[in-house]
Amino acid sequence: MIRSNHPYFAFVLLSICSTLVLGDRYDFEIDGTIIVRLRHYLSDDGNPEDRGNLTIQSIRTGSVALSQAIIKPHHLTRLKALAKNDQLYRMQATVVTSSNKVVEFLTFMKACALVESGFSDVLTVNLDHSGGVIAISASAPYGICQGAPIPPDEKLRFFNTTIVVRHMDNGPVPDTATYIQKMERERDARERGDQKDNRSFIAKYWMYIVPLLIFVLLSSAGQPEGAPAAAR
Amino acid sequence: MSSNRISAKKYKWGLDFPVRKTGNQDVLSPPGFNPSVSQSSVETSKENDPSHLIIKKAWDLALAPLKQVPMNLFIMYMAGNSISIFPIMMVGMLLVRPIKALFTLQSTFKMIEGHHAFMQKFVYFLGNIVGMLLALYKCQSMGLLPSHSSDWLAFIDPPVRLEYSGGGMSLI
Amino acid sequence: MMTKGRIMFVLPLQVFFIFLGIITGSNCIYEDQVGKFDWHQSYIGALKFAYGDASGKRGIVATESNVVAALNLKTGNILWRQILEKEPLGKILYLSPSSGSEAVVVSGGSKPLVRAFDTINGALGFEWPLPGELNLDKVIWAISTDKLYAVSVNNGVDFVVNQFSLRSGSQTGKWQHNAPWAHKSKCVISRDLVICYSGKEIHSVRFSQKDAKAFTLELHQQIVNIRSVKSGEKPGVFLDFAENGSEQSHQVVLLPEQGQSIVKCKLMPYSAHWVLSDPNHEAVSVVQLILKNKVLEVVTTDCMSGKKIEESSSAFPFTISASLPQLEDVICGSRNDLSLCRLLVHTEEESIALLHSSGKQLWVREESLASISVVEMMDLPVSDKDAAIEKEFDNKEAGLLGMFGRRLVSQTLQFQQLLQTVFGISDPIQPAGQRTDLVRDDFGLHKMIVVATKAGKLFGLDNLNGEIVWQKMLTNVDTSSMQLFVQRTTRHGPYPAQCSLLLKDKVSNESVLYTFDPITGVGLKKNLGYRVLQAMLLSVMDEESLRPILLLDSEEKVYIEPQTAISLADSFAASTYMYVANTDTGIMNGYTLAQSTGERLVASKVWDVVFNPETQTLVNIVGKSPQERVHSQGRVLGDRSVLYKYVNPNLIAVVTQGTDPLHKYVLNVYLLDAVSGAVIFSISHKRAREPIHLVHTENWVVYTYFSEKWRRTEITAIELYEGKTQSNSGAFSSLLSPVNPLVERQSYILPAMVQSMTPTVTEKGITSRHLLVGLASGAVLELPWMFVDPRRPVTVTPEMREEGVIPYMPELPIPTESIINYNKSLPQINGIHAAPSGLESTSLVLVYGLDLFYTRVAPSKTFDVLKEDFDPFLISMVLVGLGLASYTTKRLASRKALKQAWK
Repeated sequence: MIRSNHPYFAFVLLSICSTLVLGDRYDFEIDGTIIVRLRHYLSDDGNPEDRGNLTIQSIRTGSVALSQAIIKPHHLTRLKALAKNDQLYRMQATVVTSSNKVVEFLTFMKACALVESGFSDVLTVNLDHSGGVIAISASAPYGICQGAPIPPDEKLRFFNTTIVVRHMDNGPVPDTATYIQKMERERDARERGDQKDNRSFIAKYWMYIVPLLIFVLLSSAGQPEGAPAAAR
Repeated sequence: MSSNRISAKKYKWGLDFPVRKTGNQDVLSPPGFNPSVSQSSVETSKENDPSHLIIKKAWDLALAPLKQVPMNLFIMYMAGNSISIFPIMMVGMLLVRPIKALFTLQSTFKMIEGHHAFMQKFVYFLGNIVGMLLALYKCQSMGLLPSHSSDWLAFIDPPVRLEYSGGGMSLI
Repeated sequence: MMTKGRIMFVLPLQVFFIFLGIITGSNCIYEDQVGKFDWHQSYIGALKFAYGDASGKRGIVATESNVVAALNLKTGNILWRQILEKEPLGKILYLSPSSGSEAVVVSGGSKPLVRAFDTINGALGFEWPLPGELNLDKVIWAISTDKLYAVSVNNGVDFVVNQFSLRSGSQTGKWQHNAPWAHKSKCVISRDLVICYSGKEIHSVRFSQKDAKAFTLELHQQIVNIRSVKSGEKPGVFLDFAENGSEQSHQVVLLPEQGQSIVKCKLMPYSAHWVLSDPNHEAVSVVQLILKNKVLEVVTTDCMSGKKIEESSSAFPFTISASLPQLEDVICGSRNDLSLCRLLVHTEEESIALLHSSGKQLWVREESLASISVVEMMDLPVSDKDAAIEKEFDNKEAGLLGMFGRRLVSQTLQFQQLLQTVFGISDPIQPAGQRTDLVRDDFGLHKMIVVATKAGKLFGLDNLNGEIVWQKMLTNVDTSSMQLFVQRTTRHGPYPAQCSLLLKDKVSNESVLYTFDPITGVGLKKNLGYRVLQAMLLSVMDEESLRPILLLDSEEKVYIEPQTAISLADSFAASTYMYVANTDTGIMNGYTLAQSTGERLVASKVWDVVFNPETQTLVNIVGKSPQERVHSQGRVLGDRSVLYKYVNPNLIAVVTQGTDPLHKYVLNVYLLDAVSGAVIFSISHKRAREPIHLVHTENWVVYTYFSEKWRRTEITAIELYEGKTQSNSGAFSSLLSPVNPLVERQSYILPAMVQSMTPTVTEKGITSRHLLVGLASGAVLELPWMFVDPRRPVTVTPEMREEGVIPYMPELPIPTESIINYNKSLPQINGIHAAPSGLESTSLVLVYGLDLFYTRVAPSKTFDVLKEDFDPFLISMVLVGLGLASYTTKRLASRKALKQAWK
């Protein structure tokens, strides 16, 4: 049970773990910060409650800072009720870009999946080619919503959130250079292939001769045993 | 038979004394009785007697599948791993022969009389099993055995949709 | 020795694979198969200008589809057809005969081109660009005595006349006439007069003369409309007067030519369309067309007296259109007698017809088929006999006796039918006007093609020969965003198939649903009374095997059609999601119906994705076909393990065209899950731009775009895999335990301009897929997917070779054998529709655009069809012969053996 004298207003810096999906990612000309205010709905109707703040300090490197509130007991009961009724947990993310533009995003997941996973959710921030946010989507990868036991309330005090900042991948281009190189290599190989193979007959075909010899030996080894038997 | 005749003559002549030791010797052996039969049983232990030959033959028979193994290995090596008509025929033969042999095990050993063919039968059985295993190994290396997940791919049903979606660009 | 042979094979294996790929890719037909499985129909598009040439054998037309053509007036066939450039360059502004036998066409945007085509063979006579700048919105064109005039009307001020030499293209003069009364929409040109109206007056000026005086004529009524007189000896206008009370009157005014007097015809109750004048008698008669109760009256009246001339008037039934056709030309023989004339008309439904004045319809061309926007191929219903059999096995709860009784009845029926066919008695109960051959065949190759055109006309076409089976015109509809839903196919017992077409009302902009039977075309139009934002078919069928349509309106309310299905929809509401994308704001919204109650469906917003319109604009969204079936759940690799496909049925591909200060054009493709709103994958191409054509099926996306950097068309393929294990093989959920798929990608060069692209579709999805690519050259290329496979490696490992992947080549070949329309070039391809047939190997294809082309393709060859040269008779004869021979030889042999035994 959560102690009732706990200061609800205290924000706890919970996770600064962020994953930047690397690979052939898009390079931005400009870097910037993005501030996201997270609010969540604890029932199907009604106003959203504050959940926390997320700051993407650099869209290029994807480093983030996240501070989220402790889940209050009465919020927890409401979240559990959502999960019990197989309802959706919705979250609103308000993004303020470096050019002070405000964009609202809505995302959702199954409440049961969130509660079952012990509030371990993943927030994915998708960026477009210019570094702008196009979508923030939440998911609970460990929840399966098939009546798994709900962790005890002591473990349901914090959101254990992982932030993933995803850039766009670079589109592939027809790989003409490698192909031409390959063709040249092949042509060279063909020219070289015209040279005579100077190895001796045995050196070339030993792998066929040896089994043949073994075979001959084996069949002749069986002979002395069989020959007298046949003679009698 | 000849001794009987001789003894009959003895009655006429009455010269052979040492033979007439006991009185009940008067009873003649029945026709066809051969007192030397007991002697022949002693001779079975000899090298060239037919029973020994049969055992030898049985062992030959039992070891034949095992002796074929090197030959089979060689054929397998020569056949290669490509799937075409000749390798397939060879592998088929390799596989079918031991199976056939196992099914006709009783009739194969019928000509070998006696109760002592058990060992030979067992060895013969083992040899054929080895042959079969070899053929199966060949099948496996040729990729003919459904041992990979890809072989069952066609039987996987498409997953059931749990959610349905639809929509598109605004029509207004 | 054998192994040595194998080694020798390794080197040419690559070449062999390429060869194999080309072989499997080709689907070419033999010369004698031309037209056997395919048909081709040529169209010209909606009529814009037309006239009958001097010989009276040809009609020269110019259309909205940028086509100039000559029609054979006897048959309506196209004699020649010249397809001009795309808009704006090819937009036809003016068509007129020159003094020779040429058709002069002015076309273009800001810099118009003047071209002349020979009317006999369509050869280009001359072509010149118009010098200088002209504001084309203001220009009225005219040709007079080898001069081309561009008359620009400056509203309320004057008009400026530019005179060009028709042959050389040089400007021979430019002058202006003061005309404070001039207004572009109120002016017409007849001969060399500009005639305008303002209020009750008509003004005319001879524009071909530099300092001609304006002439004004005051009439007694307010004029509301003016049309020019194209025929007769004198220039003139048809005038429509303002309504006076309930009556509207019309008049024909012929203006003087060199010292003649004005001819003002008598007022008429119906508007006139043509003027016939007899040069000898000075008599002028006027032709009116009146459509009443599907009867078209051609009334000729004397101009001066207003009396009807009975001998050259007629009335006949007119079924082509519900509205009055527009008279384009009256083509007469040598004598100017209307009873021998033919009328070239075109209707609101974009059909062109030639009518004989006696009432005979000589021919009709359905030109709206040149602007098809949606296509669906429907199975035909089973024949009555098959239906009876189906019915017999349908009802399983009937009990033993009932089933026995039904079987008796159906077999009696079958026997009766057999007797009838044997004795040649035709079935008397055959509904009139309905074709009897429209029943399903054994292989499901005979289908009904249902098309909806931009003119708002629906057609049912027979797919075997392209004949129009039925047609239906929807009036007063806006076809800009049409959607066709197949609610019930023909496979559901006694219920007829049902389709619904969602359109908008032209006036109120509210949505209209036309529900019809795709086999007969009979249907019902329903005004929905709200504006539909998006619509989708429900995933389940109701008790009448009908899939209801879910409609989301502009106020985010949800409706269902038919409304009785609301409880059904409610029971599936929790698993139903909808999304709507707005091009202007760049916002995509996802909705769930989970909050619905039994009485009311409620859509609540659950996710959104915002494409900032400052950096990118939404171009296209491509989802997967809901009927799509994926047979194989994975791909077998060289080591015989399986790479499982990521087949997410809710995946949609969103294409945006972005702008970037550095790269100018950026093309972005996002793969979104339409249920969760999550971006599964996103990719960005620098310096790539429209036209973008995207195909999205199974676990892959293929798209073409124009590369600005290299100035060529490139094609990119993206393939998604779950990995070597399947996360949940039983069910797929977008919400629970989402996976991040592995993404394979590769780009290729396609040495052609792409107009349209679609994948082949087969019934069970076992057959490999090919891409059908419509090219700007008029060819339709069948491109095996194997060629754009993202797993094509540059250096081939033996494992890859085992997998059957072709080595990478940056440029895709376009072999002529892969062109499915062989030498029949298809101009202006708008789309390609592929539908499955009853045969798994075969996919039916309709290519539409200006022309229609239908054919079949078999991507994996026709593996389920016997070859054409298969002769069952010969084979059975050989079998019987062999059986007989073996039997007789057996008998002979046994007899011989017996004889030998006796010896």
